[in-house]
Amino acid sequence: MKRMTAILAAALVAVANPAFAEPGVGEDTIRIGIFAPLTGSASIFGRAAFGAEAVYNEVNEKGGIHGRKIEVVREDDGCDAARAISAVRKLTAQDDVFLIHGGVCSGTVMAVRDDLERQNVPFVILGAASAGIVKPFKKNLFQPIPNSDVVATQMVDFAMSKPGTAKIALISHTDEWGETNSRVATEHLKKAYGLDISLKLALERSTTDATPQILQLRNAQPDFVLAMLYPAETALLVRDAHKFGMTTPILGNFGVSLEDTRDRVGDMAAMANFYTFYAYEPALSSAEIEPWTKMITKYFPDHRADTFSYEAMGGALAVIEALKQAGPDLTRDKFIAAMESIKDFQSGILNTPITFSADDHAGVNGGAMIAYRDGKPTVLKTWSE
Amino acid sequence: METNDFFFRVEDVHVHYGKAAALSGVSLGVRRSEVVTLLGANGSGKTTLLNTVSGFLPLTAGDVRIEGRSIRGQAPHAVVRAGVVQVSQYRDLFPQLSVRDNLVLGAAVRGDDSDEALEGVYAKFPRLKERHAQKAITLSGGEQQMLAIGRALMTRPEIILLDEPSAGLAPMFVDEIARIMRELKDEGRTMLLVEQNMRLAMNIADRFYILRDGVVREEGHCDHLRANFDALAREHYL
Amino acid sequence: MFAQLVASGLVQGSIYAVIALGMTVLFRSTGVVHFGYGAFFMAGAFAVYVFSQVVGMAFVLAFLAAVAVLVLVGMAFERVLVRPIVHGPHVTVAMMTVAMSYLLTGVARFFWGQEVLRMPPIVDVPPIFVGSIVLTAQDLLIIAGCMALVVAFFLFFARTKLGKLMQAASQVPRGAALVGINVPGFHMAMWGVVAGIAAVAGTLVAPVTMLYPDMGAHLLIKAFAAMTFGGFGNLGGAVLGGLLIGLAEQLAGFYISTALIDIFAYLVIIVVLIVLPNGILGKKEATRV
Repeated sequence: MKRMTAILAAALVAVANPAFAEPGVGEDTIRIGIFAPLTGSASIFGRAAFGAEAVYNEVNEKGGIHGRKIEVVREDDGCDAARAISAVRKLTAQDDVFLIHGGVCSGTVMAVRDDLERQNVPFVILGAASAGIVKPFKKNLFQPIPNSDVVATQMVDFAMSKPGTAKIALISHTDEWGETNSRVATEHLKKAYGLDISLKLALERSTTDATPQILQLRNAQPDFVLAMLYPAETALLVRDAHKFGMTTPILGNFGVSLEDTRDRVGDMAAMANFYTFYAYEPALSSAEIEPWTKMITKYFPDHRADTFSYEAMGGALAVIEALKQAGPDLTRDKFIAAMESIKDFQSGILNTPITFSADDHAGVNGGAMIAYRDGKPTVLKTWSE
Repeated sequence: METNDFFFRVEDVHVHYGKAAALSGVSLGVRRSEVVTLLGANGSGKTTLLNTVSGFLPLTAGDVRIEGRSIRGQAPHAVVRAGVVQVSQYRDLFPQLSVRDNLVLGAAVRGDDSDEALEGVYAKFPRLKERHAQKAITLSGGEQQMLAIGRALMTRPEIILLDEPSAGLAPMFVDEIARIMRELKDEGRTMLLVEQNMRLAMNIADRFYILRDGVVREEGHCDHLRANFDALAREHYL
Repeated sequence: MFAQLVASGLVQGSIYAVIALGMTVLFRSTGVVHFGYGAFFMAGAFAVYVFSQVVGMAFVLAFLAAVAVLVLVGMAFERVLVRPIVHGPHVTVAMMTVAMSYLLTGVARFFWGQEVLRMPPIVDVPPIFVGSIVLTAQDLLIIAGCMALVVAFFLFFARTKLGKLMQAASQVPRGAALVGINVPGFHMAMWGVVAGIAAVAGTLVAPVTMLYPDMGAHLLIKAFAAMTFGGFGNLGGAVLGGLLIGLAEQLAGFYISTALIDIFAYLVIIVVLIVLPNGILGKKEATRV
């Protein structure tokens, strides 16, 4: 009977308490929805979800934000637009989350972003790097990772940072992703350095051999090869380049991890001329990245951390910063305003500070490259470093 | 009639195509080295019976026995392995293989593919020997019938079921087939011969059964058939 | 340059040829067009991976175990999934093979959806230089293994009684039953055999392509192109078609445009179907599908 009364009383309080009318915000909780591909072939990118969740758990352990603890609801979208739509509906309608920190595949983000805009649910991107996500501008949507335009630009700048670079070749998938990256790189090369791409090649997805491409590259002898390719095909290119003795440096895109490429190529010698885009301050496998890894494995002991595990940690820290700034009377509008006020936010994990403004929600405007030097992953801002 | 010496017997076999009865309790028997002919008009159930015996059609009731062993419900290859070999109306040859390969494959599972066995068939069908390297598909209808019979002989059958061997053949070949049938009979082969051509059948067979609407209507020695040919033909074929 | 392209084209072409060979053997012996054959190939590669890298068997043993497992899987699929519907329309069986593909891919995704697995090369030696041509030992193994399979099947079908029987059983199943051949049993055996071929192909190719659940889908299209090019159902045609497509991809990719490589297979299918519907080696009879 006593218990019954207690439940009734609790129910009454919940119904009658108007102070926390904002969705997902309770007296001592803030609910955040995460969606990402946790299974399926894109799940290596979905690892970002665990990094973000670890950051939220960590802030809870340190007392939370204005007395509130973050409650994470995690959904699997399998990198599938339809599944993402239903995951997001569940998060907003059923779980009643305050904000969403999700989306690793651009297609899933595109599928849900208009709906979230209508509902004015703050939508912080977890790992989707397409520059198209923040174009056109949406008030509720933030991208706290380097997007594809930033990556393509950085690849060109890195190549040009080597004294005497005159010929840059580009190899790309012919899908929308590959073409967009290629266009941005080509335009930046022209605009900033007055150069044209010297040779443009195609490499299709699921290809098992890159002999014609490598032979053409070997003939053309460019100073750099920009590879707008997915991980498997990047590894194929690196492997075949080594097979045919090509020593031209190959620059990989954001989605391509150095360690994963090494595992796929299976030959350290082949990795000597491979560089890939890198978003973080500490190098992979370094002592400096260890605390970040430990933060993840503390909450997810089975997690095998690699490049993508850290991808959303900077964004999660920015979210926490904005939640703090928004104050105890938390509303979605206040949170969005606080996000827009974030300037030069040093997350410690990303190598470029996060900056948002009222009309620009692409938060990370730079990056670096990473390559093996003496067998160790080394972060390089410019060629000569 | 004395029936307990039947070497091959069909006992009260019922077969249905969907709901329609194709055979409604057919019983017949063949003694060793006997040639029995199964007569009847189109649609009387003759081919259905052979295909049921051979395992291509399921029977709803009844039994089929060879030397007392039931082969009821066995798969076609198992029936052949038991020694019951059909020479079908469609001949079912391997069209892209040579005459020789067709014969050799006849003995693939049962029988004897030695050169002697092959020569034995060639002796009966000199035409096949002439055409031994030709693809089966290039043979004339009569030659194909010879090849089908030859292939069946290669399995060393206990009993051969022949489904209208003269059907669709030129008169010259019909005579040839009749000659071969008689030769096989003289060798002591056991045969169940389904024929439309009553004259051909009664000149070779020892006994006959007449099937109509899935039931045996008449049976007896071929002497009886010869004696009452016109009456029986009128009664059961018209 | 040309020689290198030819060499690489032969390696790629051998892979296509062997997949096309497996599909042709099954088509010839059972009349089934196997849309799930790419998944069989994938399953073979994963089986070798599991036996050699997870279980830790020596490579040769792992290879034999993988072939054995695939043979059993192929036979089980025939017995359980195909035989009950084999008398239905062709399209029903074809759809079943599509379902098999999804089934196997789904199982692989369940266990290895997260990662792309690397299969170490069968022999780990530095690349070999023949004049200006670079070939890895794996390349040579692929060519040798594929050609050995091709020759073995040619001899089997053309020379052995069993091979002739298998073709006979496929062309005239009733006739085969009438000489005592267990036709359903034959079909089951052939499903096992072609699944075994897929395992061999998977083993040879996996170190080159790396392992992921969808690795077979890409090859399936190439194999179809090879079969169409050479004449559907023609063993020699499938092999020749595979080699020619491999060569053409490399040469066109280098001398015309790298963008051509991947659409080449589709172009072949379209052009051949319109201009040369029976393929380069096909005869009239090969078109009865």
